[in-house]
Amino acid sequence: MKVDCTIDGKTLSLSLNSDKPLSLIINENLGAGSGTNHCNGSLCGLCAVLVDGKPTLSCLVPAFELRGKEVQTFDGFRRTKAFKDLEKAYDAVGAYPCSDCYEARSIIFHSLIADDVTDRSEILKELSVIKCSCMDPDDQVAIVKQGMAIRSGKRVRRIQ
Amino acid sequence: MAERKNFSRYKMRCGMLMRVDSCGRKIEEIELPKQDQYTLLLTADDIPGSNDLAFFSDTRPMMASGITAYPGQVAFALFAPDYEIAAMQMRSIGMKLSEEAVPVEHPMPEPLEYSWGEFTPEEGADAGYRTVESSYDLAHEARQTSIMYTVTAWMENSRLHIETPCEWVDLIKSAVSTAIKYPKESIVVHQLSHRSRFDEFLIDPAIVAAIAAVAVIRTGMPCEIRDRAIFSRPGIHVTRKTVIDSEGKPLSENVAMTVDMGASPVLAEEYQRQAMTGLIPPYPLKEFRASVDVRSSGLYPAAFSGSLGYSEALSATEYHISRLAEATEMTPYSYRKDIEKRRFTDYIPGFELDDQHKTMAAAASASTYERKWFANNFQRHSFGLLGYIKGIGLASGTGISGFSTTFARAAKFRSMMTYTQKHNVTINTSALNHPNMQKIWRTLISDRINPGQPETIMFLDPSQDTLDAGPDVLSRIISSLTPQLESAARKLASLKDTEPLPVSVVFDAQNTTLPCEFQNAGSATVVAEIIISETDFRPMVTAVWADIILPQMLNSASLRNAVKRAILSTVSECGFTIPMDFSMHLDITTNGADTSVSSLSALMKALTMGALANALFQAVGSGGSSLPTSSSVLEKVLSSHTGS
Amino acid sequence: MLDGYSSQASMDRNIYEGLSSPNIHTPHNMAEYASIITHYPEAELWAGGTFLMSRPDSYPSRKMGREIISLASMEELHRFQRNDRFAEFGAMVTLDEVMSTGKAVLPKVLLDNIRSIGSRLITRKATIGGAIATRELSTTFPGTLISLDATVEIRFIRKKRLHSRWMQLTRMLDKNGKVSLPPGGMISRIRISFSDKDCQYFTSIGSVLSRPSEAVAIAFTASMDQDVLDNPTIAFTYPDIGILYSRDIDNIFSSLRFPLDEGEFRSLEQIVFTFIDSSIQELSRLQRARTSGILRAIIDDLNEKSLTSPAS
Repeated sequence: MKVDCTIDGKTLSLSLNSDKPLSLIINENLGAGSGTNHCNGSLCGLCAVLVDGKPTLSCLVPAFELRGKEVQTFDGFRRTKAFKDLEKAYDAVGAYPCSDCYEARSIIFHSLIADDVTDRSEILKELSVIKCSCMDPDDQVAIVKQGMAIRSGKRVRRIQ
Repeated sequence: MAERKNFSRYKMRCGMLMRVDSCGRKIEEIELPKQDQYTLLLTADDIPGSNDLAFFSDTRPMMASGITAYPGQVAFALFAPDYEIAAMQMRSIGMKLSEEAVPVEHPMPEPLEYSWGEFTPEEGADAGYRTVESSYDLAHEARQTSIMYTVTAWMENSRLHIETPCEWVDLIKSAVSTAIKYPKESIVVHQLSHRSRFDEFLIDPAIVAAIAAVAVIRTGMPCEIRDRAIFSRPGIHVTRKTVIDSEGKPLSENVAMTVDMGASPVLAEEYQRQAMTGLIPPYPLKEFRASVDVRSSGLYPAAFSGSLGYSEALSATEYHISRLAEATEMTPYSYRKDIEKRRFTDYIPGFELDDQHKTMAAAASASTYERKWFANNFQRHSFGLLGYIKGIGLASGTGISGFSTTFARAAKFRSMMTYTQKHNVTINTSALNHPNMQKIWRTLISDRINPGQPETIMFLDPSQDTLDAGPDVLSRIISSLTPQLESAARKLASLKDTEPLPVSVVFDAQNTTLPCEFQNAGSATVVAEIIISETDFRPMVTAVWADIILPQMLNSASLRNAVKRAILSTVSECGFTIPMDFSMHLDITTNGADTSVSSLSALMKALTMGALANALFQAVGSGGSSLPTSSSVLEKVLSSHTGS
Repeated sequence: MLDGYSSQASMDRNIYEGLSSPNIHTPHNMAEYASIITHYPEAELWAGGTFLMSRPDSYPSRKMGREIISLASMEELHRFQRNDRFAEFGAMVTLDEVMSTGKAVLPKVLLDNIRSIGSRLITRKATIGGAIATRELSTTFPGTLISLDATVEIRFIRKKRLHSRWMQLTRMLDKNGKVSLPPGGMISRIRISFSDKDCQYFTSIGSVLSRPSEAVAIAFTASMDQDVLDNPTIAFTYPDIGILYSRDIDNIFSSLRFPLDEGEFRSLEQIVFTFIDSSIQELSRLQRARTSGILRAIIDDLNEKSLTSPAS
């Protein structure tokens, strides 16, 4: 079937199997440089992308649900200012996700910062979808809070 | 270096692998659906060169040829225009294996034995002697992880390009070269970033790359294979008997370790040396007898798993020390406070344990270990009443890194540093691909040769002349290569003023002149606290305290991250869950000693396993302290305690 | 540059293209749905797709000529309404929407069930209708809704016409403890009555998807009147087996006088397991132990409540 959608700012008209998961579309149909994990149903949480601005597990989104949707993969997200701010938060806390989960965790961190989620259990619950045990819970909470502080610092500067 | 092409998916082939699940079975029949010109099925018979992957002195048949050599061996690969077609065709292929298994022989080394001294009980004094025994188990485990990786092969201007995550570029080249009879110099490997926490990208990508390369030759198109990373760990069983005197002082010890490396053992002799190093206890003994026996079985071949025996053996030793302490009615911390010095052995030098004592004191104090240990012991039999049971465990040890001296001498992994006529420094090595590590090394080398000019230090791009520095396992690239680079830089700094330029220094990628098999570096202590609830029987780690003293620190933030990852990964690997209120307390300091850096990940893995096994023992006793643990194991053990 | 299938045609590809691509139908209202389901009675209903997409090897599908009816565009299935007596959800209301719209008014047991799922990456996608209608494994939701005495509206085709019927969820359980729908049937709405039950417990242990044979969930609701329970309802979920509910067990709970001593707890536990064992074939050892643990935690809390509640 034909699917019209926007991926990383590019308007695309893709001819795909209608039930093909977005995670595989990103791996196979978007050219080199794009990629995400596809765990074949084990809900590893490593394939998170932004769909219409919300973090979503791309393995759970079939092609037919993509019509008219705006998808941002990590490849698109890394070019944004929000990602640069997130990198600053990583540096400030001195903690980084491992290379297995860096992309998915960064996308979820970004959404938590954007949604102003400050509650520890809410933060950790949201991140619990990623089945990679590379990060200390305290560090994860600190990164979200640091990310918010960096963002609000920018807001203050803009107002001044 | 040629960049990876953005291939048109119309003009490439996508491959999937079918693996067998048992060894020693005859492949009696492969039922194929009707093939067409668009699909390609590859078996061992299609490999134009050798089907054997050579890994140091071991060889392993990559694809099953007639009889399956090991579980997980690739039976065939199927290539199709896309993965959907490959998957659908794969589902319709039937493979019939013989019911009877043919024994598959694997040459195994003789058990490695090591001993010193002799203990004869003094006459009349033997009444006070006691024997403390322990048994430590870590189950063999192999499973496909959820991590997908892709290996791509393509031909361009008579060069074969391979893109893959890998820990050893040279192994990929060798495997491909022998499989398709293509010169190694014409194979270019593009490394993809990867974490490789279980060394899962050491051997498997070489096999997958060789199969993809065969497909490139057969189809004339770029080919890729998608596969899942495999976690595989050997099973170990350690039994230890120690004779202690009436004051609890160990006098003689006998330890036997058996290792199940699965159906196709890897580096068995090196495993024995590393394991032996971990088995030697820190306390003085009049007599010590140890053996490490590596055996093969019909299970999936064990790979390195962040360690090649040292971590597993050290955790077993740490487990036993706690049993000795309990036998003398002391807390493990108090028991080992009086051990002052480690003796020199063929495997690890003798050294004072001051730093280790400092880490123990710090971790024990931060965790209030002594108080919790007594409280948990007191509540040990109140599971039904409290609704939960707790345990706390301590493990302390020293780090080693890389391969043994014997192995390093035989392997001859090298790198080269050259001072050029333009007063730049070039480094020819297959290691050090990571930009962050290159940055650190540039600074280190420039400090010794061209102070303040790190931009003059250049790492040569991979080419046919690249020197092989060996695999990036056991933290050897960061731990073992660093002092070698530093020493080469010092040597070059003096040679550049005395010799005509350019001048080069070729150096071993690892120290081959050590008096022992390994050098100790760094001390650490880990304390872990666990809780098991009566409602769900889930083993949970509530807190971990780690105190580490290192000779030096290259990058504090990445070191802290590496330590935390090693601890958390080991916690999960041992079957424990991490609750939301989990806390980790980590303190890393340096003592400025001029010794090499150890593999902190391997040390942390060992100590975390040891601490968890000790905590489990305190909570549920010897019946449930095998690792990895699980809710179902704990339920059985605890139900037998409460009689329900 | 993108390299999708939309570029120029290729001979290699065309022969395979569309081989396993299911047809997607997207009705906008019940009339359109009725027309489609009449034509394709075997069509699969697609709500959030969370469960369908998370099954191993779900793609590419093994079935050829698959017809899928996506319910996402049916406006009436997205509605949520409430009055002072009940809340009513369209089947396509996501769990996240249930949580955010009904946080202040919905029963604790339902909110706890949604919280137990964890990340909003899942709850934003999973729908309440989908959570009830899974067949292969049972989710924890039917049990929770049974404990709330929920009713559901079923749309089904009979004699080529679409019919509607409200049913108690308990009546939809088949003998194996699975929620059973008539062929071509669809859950369109779920209604939960508000009640003043002050004892509500939901506990879920283990992973429904990855380790169903170890997982257990219990939903319990009741009011405590001095030392007895009024209108207790308890449902047990074993994802690999099904949902267990019996009015007889509810009646046993009604007959209890709190606090229970150890002996009374043991007899209650024995009755519960006799019921479970007579209803299903095999409960794993861990499921049994966890059921017992949850039951004990509930009884302990009820004991405490009975001791601290003011005497009338």
